[in-house]
Amino acid sequence: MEKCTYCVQRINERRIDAERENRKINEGEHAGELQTACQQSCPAGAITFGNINDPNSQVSKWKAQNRNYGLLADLNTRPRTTYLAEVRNPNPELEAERS
Amino acid sequence: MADRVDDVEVANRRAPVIEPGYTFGTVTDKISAIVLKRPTSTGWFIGFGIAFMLTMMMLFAIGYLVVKGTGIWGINIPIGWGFAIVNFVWWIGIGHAGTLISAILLLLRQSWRNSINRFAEAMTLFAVAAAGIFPLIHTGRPWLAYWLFPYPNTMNYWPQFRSPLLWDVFAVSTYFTISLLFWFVGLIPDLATLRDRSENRWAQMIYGMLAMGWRGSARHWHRYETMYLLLAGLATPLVLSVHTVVSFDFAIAIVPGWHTTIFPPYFVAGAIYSGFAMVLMLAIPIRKIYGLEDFITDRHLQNSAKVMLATGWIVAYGYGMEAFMGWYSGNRYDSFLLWNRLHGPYQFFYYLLLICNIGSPQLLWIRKLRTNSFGLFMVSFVILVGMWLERFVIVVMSLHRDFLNSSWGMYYPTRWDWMTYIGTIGMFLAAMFLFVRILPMISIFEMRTLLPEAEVKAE
Repeated sequence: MEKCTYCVQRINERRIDAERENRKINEGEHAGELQTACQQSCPAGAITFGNINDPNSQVSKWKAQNRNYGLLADLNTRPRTTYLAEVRNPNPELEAERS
Repeated sequence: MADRVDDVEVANRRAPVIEPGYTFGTVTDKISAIVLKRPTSTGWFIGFGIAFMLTMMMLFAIGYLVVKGTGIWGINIPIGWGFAIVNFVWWIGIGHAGTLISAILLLLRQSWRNSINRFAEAMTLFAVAAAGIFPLIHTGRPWLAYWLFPYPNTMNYWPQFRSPLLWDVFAVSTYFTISLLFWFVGLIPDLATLRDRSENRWAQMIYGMLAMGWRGSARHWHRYETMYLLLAGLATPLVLSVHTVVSFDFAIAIVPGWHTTIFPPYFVAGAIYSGFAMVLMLAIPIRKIYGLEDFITDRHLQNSAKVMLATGWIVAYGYGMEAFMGWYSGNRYDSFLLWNRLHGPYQFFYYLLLICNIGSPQLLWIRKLRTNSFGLFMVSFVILVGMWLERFVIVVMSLHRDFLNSSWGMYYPTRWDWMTYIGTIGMFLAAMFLFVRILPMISIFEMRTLLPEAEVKAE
């Protein structure tokens, strides 16, 4: 049993590349160079990982959506993995069909 | 004050701290003879043998743990803290009585402590040693335990000072060091007595080395008393701080049932409560077996019972407050915790805890019981069981059903949990057996100060 490291080995590898080339990591033409393993293997593209200090990153854009929520965020634990609520059709007939 | 109602009346007198008729010489003879003259009895060998085998069982369980990892225990998500933490807190709590008796009662000039402080301190040391094993093996990789200390290293690694688990490392190691020093310093004059009285060459040499050249000159005594008082001053805040820090392990976290401000005082009171119970459980058989009823009198039993009654009520207040806050806070997690304690799958242990820790000490209101060795022994045993259950309730019952009911679970200890726990009891007892055999279990020179001969009369 291990705590998820958010693929620290991949992050470090890309960071070293970026430092060697004197540029920022995962930005501009290099956007997408850094992916976590779960992100890479998710066929639906439901997982994204990136710099939340950069307002233009994919992860910041998703986090800015009002569907964004954290698990037990009301306990003020400030979880860094957050989720997007499911998009549902409010039509009661379709809603009933789902479940 | 001799006729106070709560004093033990034995033929219209208060039970003394030492029975009359002793002189400096006879006190010394009696205590040193237990170590030097008395032959080692069969009972001692049997008792020590059993305790030693249990110690070996503990070492086996730990050895297997090192090979296999903590998966052999019953812990898993969500209950990541099982027996190891329960036992750690239990043992460290027991280890509180020694320093309370020796340091705080010394500063308060409670001279009755003189006949029980030595073995209470020894008990403290062994209990803290037993406690120390658990967090160490609970890390899963005990050979890397030195990472807990902040030291310069090439890994660019530094412990997290905001974690109460790190504060524990400092609190417990300081406590152990000060307790050991205090115990050893207290032993020095008595070690010199044993050196002078032993007839065996080896014993003379070993006691002689440990006595560090003590000759009992006035200057020795002067420095000695100063140092003893200073150490008592250092140890006093530790009695309160150690279990406060241990309670922070819980109180700093956000888990319902842990995140409460009442934890520090309630933990300290519980620690003293269980510590005195252990002192009584040891003192009662020891004074019987070694015929020390003249030195450890009914007065000592009575006083210890009163301390237990008082701290027992503080603990009861703690339980009451927890239940009250579960309702009053309006927090649904807290109120669920209260419900879960009363009606959940572990409800049996909660009710048993209430009976052991709140019910049984009420018997100590009865004066007859406070001076009855067997009754006190049984009450102390029940309290020790109750204090263990308290830690079980706190650790396991808070964790097993917390915020997310998708990750609720149950905790069942495995045979390895039990072997380690029972093994530490064996280790503790084995150390106590050795202690009563090779060191004076009652402080000889402090006992002498209780005699009428020692009273200095103003001219």
